[in-house]
Amino acid sequence: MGETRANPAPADSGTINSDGQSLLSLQVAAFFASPAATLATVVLTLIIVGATLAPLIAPQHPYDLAQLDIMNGMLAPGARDGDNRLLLLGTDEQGRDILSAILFGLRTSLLVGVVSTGVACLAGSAIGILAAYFGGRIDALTMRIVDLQLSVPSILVALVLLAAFGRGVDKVILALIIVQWAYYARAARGAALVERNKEYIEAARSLELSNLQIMFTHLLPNALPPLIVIATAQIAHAIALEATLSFLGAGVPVTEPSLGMLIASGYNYLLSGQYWVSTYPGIALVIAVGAINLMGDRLRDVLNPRLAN
Amino acid sequence: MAPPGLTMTTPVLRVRDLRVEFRSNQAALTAVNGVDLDLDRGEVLGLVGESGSGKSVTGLAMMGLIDPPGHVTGGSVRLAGQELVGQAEHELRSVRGRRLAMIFQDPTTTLNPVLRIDTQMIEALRAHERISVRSARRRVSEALEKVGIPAASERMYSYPHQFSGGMRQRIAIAIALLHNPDVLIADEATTALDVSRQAQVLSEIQSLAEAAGTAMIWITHDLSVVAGLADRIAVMYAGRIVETGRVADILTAPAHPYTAGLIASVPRHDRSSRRLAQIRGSAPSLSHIPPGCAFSDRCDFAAPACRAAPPPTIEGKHGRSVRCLYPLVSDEAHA
Amino acid sequence: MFAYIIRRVAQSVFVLFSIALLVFLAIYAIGDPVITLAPQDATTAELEATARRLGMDRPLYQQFFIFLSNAAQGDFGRSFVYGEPALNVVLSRLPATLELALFAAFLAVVIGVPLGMYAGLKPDSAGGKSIMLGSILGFSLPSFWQGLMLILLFAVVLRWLPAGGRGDVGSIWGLQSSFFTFDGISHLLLPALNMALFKVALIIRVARAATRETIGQDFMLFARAKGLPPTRLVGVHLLKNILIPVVTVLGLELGSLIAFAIVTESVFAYPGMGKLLVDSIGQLDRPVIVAYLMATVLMFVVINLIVDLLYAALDPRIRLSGGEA
Repeated sequence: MGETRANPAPADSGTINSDGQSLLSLQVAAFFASPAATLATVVLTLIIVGATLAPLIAPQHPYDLAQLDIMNGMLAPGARDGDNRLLLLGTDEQGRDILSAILFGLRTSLLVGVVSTGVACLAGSAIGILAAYFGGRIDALTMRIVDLQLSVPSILVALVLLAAFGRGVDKVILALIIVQWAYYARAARGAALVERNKEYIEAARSLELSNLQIMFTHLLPNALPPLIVIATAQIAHAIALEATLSFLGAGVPVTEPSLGMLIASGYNYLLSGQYWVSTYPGIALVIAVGAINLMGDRLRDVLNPRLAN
Repeated sequence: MAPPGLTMTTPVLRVRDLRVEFRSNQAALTAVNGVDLDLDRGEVLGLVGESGSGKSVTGLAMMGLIDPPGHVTGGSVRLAGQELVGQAEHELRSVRGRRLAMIFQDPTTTLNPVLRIDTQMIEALRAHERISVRSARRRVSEALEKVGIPAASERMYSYPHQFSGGMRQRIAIAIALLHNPDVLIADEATTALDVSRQAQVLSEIQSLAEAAGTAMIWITHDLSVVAGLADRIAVMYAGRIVETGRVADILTAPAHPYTAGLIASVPRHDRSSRRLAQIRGSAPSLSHIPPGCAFSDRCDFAAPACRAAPPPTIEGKHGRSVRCLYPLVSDEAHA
Repeated sequence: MFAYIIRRVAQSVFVLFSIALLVFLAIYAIGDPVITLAPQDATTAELEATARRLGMDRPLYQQFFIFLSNAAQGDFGRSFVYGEPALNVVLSRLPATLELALFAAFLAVVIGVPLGMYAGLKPDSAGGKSIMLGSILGFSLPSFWQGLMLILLFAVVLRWLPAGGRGDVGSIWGLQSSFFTFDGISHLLLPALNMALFKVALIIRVARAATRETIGQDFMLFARAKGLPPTRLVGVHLLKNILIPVVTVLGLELGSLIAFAIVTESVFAYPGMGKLLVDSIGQLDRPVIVAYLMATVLMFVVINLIVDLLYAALDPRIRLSGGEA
């Protein structure tokens, strides 16, 4: 922690030189100095591997109706199905193996989280840097829109957007991009404003590089640390939001795997004490989101960008 | 000045070998390194030193207000015979503000901005006295009038930011003197005020303390402030008292080269034509205190022996003492 | 202070206007607003009436002003499902949601502030560290699932509290609220706790940061030098200072609490505005959706306004200097 990140000097902007390499390795070492962050990284890696390999390692394809047998419905964890296979986490009302459904559901969660955050980060920071670079009315207008967007809670915006779009993984991703872009726009603009007046930007200008070139080769790398920290937190947020929207019946369609929907389908059984359909997918969700948040918290400490408040 | 029954020879505050360390994972830094002080009843002692010399930490240590990573690691602070070092927190609390009070440098930050003046004063009264809110309010109003706050009975319901810096320092002084403490420790209490107000506030504090029979330790980096105020001076350098004595003795004939340097660097009207002398170098950081005499690196008179071991304290007449192997004046010369 | 209020009100009106414009554009972007805002089985006469009401024969900017003036009069059309004016349907659910949000905010402060203060006063203690780790994990608990687990624990396993719904409404001095009956409070407790936990992690962080900043201040040292007992130092000098940022953040989050009531109300089958919105989306009851949006945004704006004024009231430096800080 502390001032591990040196102020970017004119020499080290843009390209990664040997100095940058050692800085990076220092930061990596600092990151793993925290046991919680290390554990979170290991857990998240396992989740990613498990979700990626789900079709290969899951006992069952839980969204292939041909593989489901209603006779196996609502079996408790530890029970065996008709073929005497052990059901570690039980089954839902359609005889779907919960463990398999979790692995497949995590695929959707990670896909939605990573893609929506990635696109929102790129689009939002581009908008923010452009606003900072041009300044004046463009900047003022953009920031007004950002403030307006951030003043309305994300769940509300996403829900209303999906009410208009209809259900679908692609639509959830689109809604989450619209919900998120403003965070990056604000952070990137803040970082870019700080960098804009520094000498090396002047130097680049006098070399008559085009405006766009200056912005994306010089400003973006320096705006990166705060963006990484926000993006990590936002991936976790997006995953939770997707699950929430699907739980409310506005997100992923029934034919696709989703942890939120799985949890919703166990809702009625919960009241009669058949807890597993709602409980285990939720635990998986919490572990995934918690691991990402722990990593994000550590990244914030290591990169130590004075986040735009 | 002494109340009847107490002789002048019993110091109201006696500090012996006080030590304060600040500990980090790597090292322990000694901020106060064996400080001895005596303060007689009603006396004013000027504790003088550069920033970082440990004078403020000494003040806080006497109050028992050193927080981790700082620790009082040894020594004794006796207030009218009662030992304070190592006392339980509730014992210290009954002393603080009642018999031993302290005011700080920046009057704009010493009062809680979100509490009214009357609240902050009544709580100070009621921390040590069983007294009704109504009579506490009357006492508060009187105390404010005494320090020169106009329309005190109304203005006590104001918030700190509604007063000027000088007024706020007066309020802090009124709070500190509420219980007529035995000792008031003033840490750079006029430094933040502008020059025209400094002298005025200074003389007001002096007469208030005198009237209350309160002895004062006046902590400052500015020799000229204590010159007109203090009875005695203690000069502090790198956590140690390097010289003590009566004001006149020290100012006219400093024994320690550091004291001499401090005096030479004070601007004076009668020698304004001369260039101000500066002590060469700068005060050592706590982690790089030279072995032997801490001042040896900057001293024009340093000999090899000075760097070998810390110099012993040489005692002189009238409570004069100096921590130097080669003092500038021998005690007999002016005694 | 007066100029400050005027400026804040002007800002609020700007936000309201912008949101109204967005909602208006959204309705027109989705498709034919007449079809959107009329029931699916509407007769030709009904469609014509709707078109007239919306001013479909006028230019677009005039339609917007018709929309605005209808909205200002509380006219968002009739709910397809309830057959009543949409705004009435939304407003009839408002007290339930407000009770929930206020109770949740109260619980968040009562739980979050002491924990945050402890973590700030003893940052290196095991307790302080666990509180901070817990707050990160608290951020990670999806509200809907956490609600289900609360139901499982307190309603199904322990059988202490009801699993959902709204309790009896009592009346004191003509004011109707479920705060006034035991049944009402027992129904409120779980959903309010669920919503509070959603904000507790945030309150902990704010209270901790403010505590750490405040205890380093000279006035805390001076207060200790006065010989005040720790209860007074922490309970008055510290608490009063950290309440300013806590109330500010909580006020700004009250809007998000009301929005997130959507989730909690759905989990606990609590008949508030949020559940109404989810049901209306499911039933394509669009006038209710529009009415909900405009009512909620109005509420956000008013709450933000109140928070700013309350902030000014709590901090005498702002209160008395005209709020230019």
